[in-house]
Amino acid sequence: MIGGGALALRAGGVIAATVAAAIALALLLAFLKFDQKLLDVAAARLGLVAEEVRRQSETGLALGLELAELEDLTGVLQRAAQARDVVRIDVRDERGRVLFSSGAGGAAGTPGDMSTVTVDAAGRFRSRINGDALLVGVRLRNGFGQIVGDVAVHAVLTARRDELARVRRELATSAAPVLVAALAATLLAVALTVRLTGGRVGRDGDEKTTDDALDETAGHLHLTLETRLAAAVAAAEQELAGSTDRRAGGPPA
Amino acid sequence: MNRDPVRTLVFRLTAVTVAVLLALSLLASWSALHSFERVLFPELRAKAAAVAEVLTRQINRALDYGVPLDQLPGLAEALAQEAAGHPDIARMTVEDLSGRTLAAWRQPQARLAGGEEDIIAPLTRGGVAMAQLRLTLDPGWLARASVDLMLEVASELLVAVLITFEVLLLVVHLSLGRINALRHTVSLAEAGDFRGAAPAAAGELASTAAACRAMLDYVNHRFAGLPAAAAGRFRFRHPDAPALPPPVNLTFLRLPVFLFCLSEELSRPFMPAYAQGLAPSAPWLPVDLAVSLPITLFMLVWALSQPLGARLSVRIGRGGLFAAAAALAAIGLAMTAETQHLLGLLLWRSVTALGYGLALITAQGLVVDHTTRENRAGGLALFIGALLAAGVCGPVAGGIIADQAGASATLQVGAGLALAAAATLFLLFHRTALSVPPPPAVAPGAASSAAVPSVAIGRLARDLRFGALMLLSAVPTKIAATGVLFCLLPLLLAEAGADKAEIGRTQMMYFLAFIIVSPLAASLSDRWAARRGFVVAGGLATLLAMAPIGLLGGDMAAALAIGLFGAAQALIGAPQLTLVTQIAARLQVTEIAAIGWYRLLERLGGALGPLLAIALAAAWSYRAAVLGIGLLCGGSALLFWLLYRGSPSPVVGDEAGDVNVSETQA
Repeated sequence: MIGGGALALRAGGVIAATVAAAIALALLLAFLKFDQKLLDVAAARLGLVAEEVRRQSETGLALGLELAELEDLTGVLQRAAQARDVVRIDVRDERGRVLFSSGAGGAAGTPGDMSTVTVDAAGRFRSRINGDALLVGVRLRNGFGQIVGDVAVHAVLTARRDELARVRRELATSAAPVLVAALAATLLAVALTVRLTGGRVGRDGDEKTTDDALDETAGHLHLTLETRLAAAVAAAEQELAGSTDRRAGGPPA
Repeated sequence: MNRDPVRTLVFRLTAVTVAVLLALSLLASWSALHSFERVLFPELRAKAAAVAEVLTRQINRALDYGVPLDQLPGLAEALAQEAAGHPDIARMTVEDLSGRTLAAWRQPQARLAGGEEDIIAPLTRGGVAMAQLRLTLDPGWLARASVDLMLEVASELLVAVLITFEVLLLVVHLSLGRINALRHTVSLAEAGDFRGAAPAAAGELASTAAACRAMLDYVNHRFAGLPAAAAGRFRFRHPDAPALPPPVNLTFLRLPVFLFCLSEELSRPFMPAYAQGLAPSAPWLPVDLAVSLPITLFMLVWALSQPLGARLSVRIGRGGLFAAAAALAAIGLAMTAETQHLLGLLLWRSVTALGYGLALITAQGLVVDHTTRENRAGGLALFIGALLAAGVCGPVAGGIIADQAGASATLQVGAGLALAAAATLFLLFHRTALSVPPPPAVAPGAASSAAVPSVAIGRLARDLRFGALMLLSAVPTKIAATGVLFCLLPLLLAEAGADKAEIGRTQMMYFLAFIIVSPLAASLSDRWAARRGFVVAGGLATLLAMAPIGLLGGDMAAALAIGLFGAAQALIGAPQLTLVTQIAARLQVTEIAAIGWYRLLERLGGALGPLLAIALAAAWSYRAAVLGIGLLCGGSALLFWLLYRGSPSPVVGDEAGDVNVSETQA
């Protein structure tokens, strides 16, 4: 087929590349959504820990005590810090200074930056992820509704990281044969399609019409285009046979 | 039946792509989801266990104070309060040791799992079990999360298919370029014109091309000296004279237009929210106005750029203008990504709009330059097809990119695409095809005054039908398009908690429905000669389409409404344009002038859309605003019908009435 082999190759290459890219992107998208869902679930779980500490803190604040006077919070924090993945829980004042902490030397800890945070759908807590480190925070309000500090739960999602790595390995393992199959199936299908589309033969030996351009791409250009042009030249010669400015010679063989 | 074999081949190859993509993506996605659920479900159980622990501690405290469980006030409310924000929990119950339910809370629409997966925590007083707290997870939550994921993957696949189609069209036409050029030369020769050229070729085509060249040289050598009268219908060229250039293949215009429109469409899902985020930088401006102004300014500058584009083309050529427009759009998008102030956003959106308008009018100009009246509809259809394909792909892709990388990164990607569009245009078109356009031909016998713009607008303005068509159909339609699709919908969905990818998918439904319905509406309205009927039906259908948003709730309502909205607008587009051309013929105004004023008024309506939408939303709510705009379209359509009910069609037996240019929002 005139241009058929090259056409099939180019078209097949384009389609195969697109199919492979689309499948790979689809899997990547699915993985990213799954990662986000997993993170949301983990953040929601740790948000419960922060909420519990908040409740107990605000009970004391409602009695008129200052945040720094709630000495019982250390015990509360140590109990709450036993939750899975929690590394440390801090209670900070409105300037970000750590007042109480479940971790050793935590009171001298540096305030964490909550400026780039995500708020959960219910608006109860804020979270920020940095690699495997998750920081979940809730604001503390006194009896007048004023913000007097916040609770910051520091967690490391090691289990999540391991699970993600395992899922990623599984995806890569299962995706590789799918992509190879995609490439092979695509190239085969394209080659067949181009051949079938360009390889139609006139039925019952019928003369192909000049409008049947498909046949022109089927490797029969020398039977169609050349024939048509020769016919056009012959028609012009016949009609102009009486012209005065005739020259000797005939059409090339 | 004559069919374009190239288009047939491209459609078949696209079908192959769809089949392979669907089959293998489904397989890959199913396998991936299986892996995800195995990991996610235990995490959900761990979270539910944490909820149970919190509740248990609270209830145990009350039990330790000696309060009997069945007399504990607010138990059900406490369950509900704790369940808020945990949509995966279907039910929580407090049961006594005999299993009798003392207090319960249930998610209204959740299914209940069998019971074997329930989380049970004992409620104790002094270490002695008094009752139990039971949490039941919603198995449908995971399924719904999976459906969300599958929808996102499906929309990504749709984008891939459309992009494949565009690239395939280009690849196939490039591959067959020389063959098509030779076919064109032979067709010319059959019509008596032997001035064409046989292109140089390699491979299998070489011998055929050489043979054709030899025949053309022979016949031109033999008859070039004939006087024109003797030659009759035949045309020859001197063997040394340059051959006629092959016709410009306008298919090559699709990819640059697609890329350029895509650059702007990427920002559709998040632009109103983006403006809302910058509103605090200009506290003297009401927030509602801050949200609508960028879109309004964009539409306004776009509208006003159209006549400017036509004049600039004449000075610097189509190619130069497209390049300049793409550069403007790229700068506008890049600076929009970087700006931290609302006034900066307004400035750079205006710059982007200027580039956008100039580029699109240039592209349309290229179609006009290289088509005749007979095939112009086909040329414009290529252009419109690219625009609509970008409308489908852009919001989806933009939403996904914005969710993963942020709005600024998405805008930067758009800037890159605008520049890529210009580069593609210059790669695919010869320099001569992009040069200064020829002056417009005046049809024989046409009144020269019809070409003068002031005369044209004067006649159009005095014509009641044109005025009614504009005020009661064109303008309300565009108000609805920009007000609802670009302004209210993203805000309404964002308020309901949808992410940008979901907003993009919903917006995509409009363009999908438009693509499907528009050709059918154009064809039927011509066949039945019922253009006014279609215009009225489209207006009323717009009102019906807005009803699901205003009256129903839920995620599907918006997608359904927007799909119906797209279908309704598709009923209007082509018939409305045909009515304009009919009126132009009756008033002896050039089609170009009439369509130009029609587009300008339409775009002014588009500029008004966001302002009206936000004003209604501020007065009532987003849903009420959507319904209000629907009422505007429905009421205007009804009025249009009442005004012209029973009157004869604008032109009887006029060929202009046969024009079926399926232009839409271009």
